[in-house]
Amino acid sequence: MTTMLTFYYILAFMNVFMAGMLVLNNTFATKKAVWYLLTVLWILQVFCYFSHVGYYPLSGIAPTCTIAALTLCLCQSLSLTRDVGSKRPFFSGMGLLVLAVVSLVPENVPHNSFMMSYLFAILFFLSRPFSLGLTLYALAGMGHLFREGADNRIYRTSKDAAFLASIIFLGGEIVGCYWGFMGWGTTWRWSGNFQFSAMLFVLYMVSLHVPATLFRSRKGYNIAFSAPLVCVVFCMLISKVIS
Amino acid sequence: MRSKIQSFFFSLQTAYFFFILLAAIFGAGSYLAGFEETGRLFDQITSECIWKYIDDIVANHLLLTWFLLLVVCAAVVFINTLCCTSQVLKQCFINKIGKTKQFRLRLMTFIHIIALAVIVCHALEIMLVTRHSPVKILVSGMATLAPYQVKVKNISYITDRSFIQEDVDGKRLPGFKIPLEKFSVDGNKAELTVYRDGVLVKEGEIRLFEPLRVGNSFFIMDGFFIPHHKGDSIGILIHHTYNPLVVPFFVIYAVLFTTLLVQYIRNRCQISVQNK
Repeated sequence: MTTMLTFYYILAFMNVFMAGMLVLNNTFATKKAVWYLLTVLWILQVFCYFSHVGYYPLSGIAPTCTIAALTLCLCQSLSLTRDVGSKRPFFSGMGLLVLAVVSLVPENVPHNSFMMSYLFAILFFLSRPFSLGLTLYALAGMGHLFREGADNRIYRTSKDAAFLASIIFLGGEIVGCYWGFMGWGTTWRWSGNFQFSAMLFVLYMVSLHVPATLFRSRKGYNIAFSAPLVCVVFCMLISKVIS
Repeated sequence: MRSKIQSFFFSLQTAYFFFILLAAIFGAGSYLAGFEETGRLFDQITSECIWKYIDDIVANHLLLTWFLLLVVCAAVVFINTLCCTSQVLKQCFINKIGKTKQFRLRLMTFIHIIALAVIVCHALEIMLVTRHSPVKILVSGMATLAPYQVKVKNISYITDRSFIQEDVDGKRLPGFKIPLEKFSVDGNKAELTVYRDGVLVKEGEIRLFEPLRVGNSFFIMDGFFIPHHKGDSIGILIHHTYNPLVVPFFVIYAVLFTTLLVQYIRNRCQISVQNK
């Protein structure tokens, strides 16, 4: 069991190194093989984590970061052919670097609680890292737009990625409500956790409802679109680290 | 003045600013829940009903301000969505626009109508749903969970009992700390009979994550316990909640989720066609 944890940290350091290379070398970031290798490395890191703690603790730092990184890797790999010459792979690399560094934060490894084995609890906890990965992908596209100027394709994929992230987040909230109702008899609680989730969802709504008429320049609009997403990423990661 | 109010409620900018405000309010609520007094009040509102603690909320100025801001903000978002949706609805059905654009507009309108239903449902849920504090019932025992009387006919507990043993203070290990292999969600159950005014209304099994439903009332199991002083006898912790909105609540949310997915897929398809 300890060996698996050691492997987990070795792979996390490898992922930090690889993500660092993506950020430092743009040619490296546009090679398909690199992204495939990264996907495999993150899969191995997830595997090591679950082999060490069991399959159900999905709310910790490690599963959140590794699954989010996998989502980001897959999205970037799928759009890489069209992204040659763009800065999106570079910004995706930055996102991966953040996730790889955060995945190194030590945490108390929880045991497999029977409460977490409930299907709707699993779906709820899984929705968060998927949303996080897609949000980072949306931000990577916006990063390109800030550096290189207008690109309609990247703008639309970024907006769609943020939209899908919000749908998955909402889906997670719905199954979480169901879990809450079956387990505790309430769909909504006035607790810090519930209000924090509501805040994240409303931040997605802020991002998707930016009025074009409010900003004179495209850059202003892009900042208004990206800022709530940056808040979502920051809040998701910091909440895991603090808790 | 009238046109100013009208343009305020019919504007996307209003929605945008009030969404930002709503996010800030939820963020503040999340922060306030960390304080002892406000956290305790939030817990009490959650465990029973908001109306029961209205005097406590009024007495706590910080919480009162927070609640008022939340209500005002949610109301403005609701009215704004209603106004904007009615405007788009008019566009969809009266003005002549292209077929593709028409479908997109209709779908967006439908999404916003469902979103309105979600806001209404949440507001009604907060106002109508009542919960009662959990009670402990030993096997063969009976308790009143108004307006019902609940009798525990039998309890089957097949896993390690040491995890549910209470200490001298009546405390036991929280459910989420019981390891998966030490608890059986299917095997650990209780048989209940529910009476109302002495008349049997329902008989059935109850498990964790499997409440017993009687009309709009739900009996929810909170856990098992073995009292410190009573040797081998085992009991359950159970509470009762009245929620007439649970089915429409999840139906509306399921429709919203599906429609949003359809909208996303259509967006992607449109982009693929354009790229070709």
